[in-house]
Amino acid sequence: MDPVDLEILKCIQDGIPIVKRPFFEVAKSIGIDEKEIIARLNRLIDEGKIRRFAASLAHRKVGIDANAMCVWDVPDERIEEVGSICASFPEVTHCYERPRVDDWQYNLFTMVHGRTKEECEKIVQRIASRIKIDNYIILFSEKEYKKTGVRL
Amino acid sequence: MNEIQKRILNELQVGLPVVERPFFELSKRLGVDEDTLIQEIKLLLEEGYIRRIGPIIDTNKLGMVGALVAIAVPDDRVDQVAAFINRFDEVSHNYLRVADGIPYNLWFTISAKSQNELDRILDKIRENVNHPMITLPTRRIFKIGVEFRV
Repeated sequence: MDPVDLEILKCIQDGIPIVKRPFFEVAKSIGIDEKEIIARLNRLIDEGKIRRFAASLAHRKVGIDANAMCVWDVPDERIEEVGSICASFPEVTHCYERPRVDDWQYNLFTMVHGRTKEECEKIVQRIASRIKIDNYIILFSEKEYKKTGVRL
Repeated sequence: MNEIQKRILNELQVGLPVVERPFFELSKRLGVDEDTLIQEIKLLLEEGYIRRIGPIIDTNKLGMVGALVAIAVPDDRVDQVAAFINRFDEVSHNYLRVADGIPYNLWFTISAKSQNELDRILDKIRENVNHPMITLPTRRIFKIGVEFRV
């Protein structure tokens, strides 16, 4: 990765300052021109390396209390189709394919957010009937030990 | 939370343009002035509704490798093991998740610059945590967070 891009990302990974010209503040602290920082960040967005610039919320605090990881045993030949359907649900915030290993048979992971556990369960039931798969397990988060952005 | 705060949170999740005055651009969408918006966002940060405003990074496209890891930890040791796992900067999320019939209860995500680096950290964890552990690398991303309506 380009060292200047990396320096900029490291500087802002914990958040930009909340001021009128945040990138001017960043520019002062790392000695790179504000315009160049903006241009580089927009290029990283165009390249897809940055998905977007956005707020990360404390979900619990905003009333989205329940966070369920639902794991599905999807026949390999249906993974593309089923993954796309799951991703299309607005309540599903993440949807990943992962391998089956050892005693672990579930290969599709969906994160479902709702206000309560019951709400999450209902969403999962709706998904299950759409994709016609009933071999799944919901793992609710009982305790959050860490939630940060990825560190560069 | 009041209506304007909810609207701000929803807009901020969708995204902020990367321009000289991003909050000015956002304030136009919301129909409030820039100073008010900045004050409101600072409050939302102080009160802990917002964790941060920054880049949401696609680790795969940056050439990083990531995995979800699960460990089956006895109940009375979970806090201790979780604290050990948290010490690694490469761990971004770490949750206790419980379900009937599933032995694994501590679930964390980890990403590193290379497969070697990832393996090195996982080896270190395995040396210190003597419980069954599975590593589930990210094979394909169908969706990566997040907008939900507040």
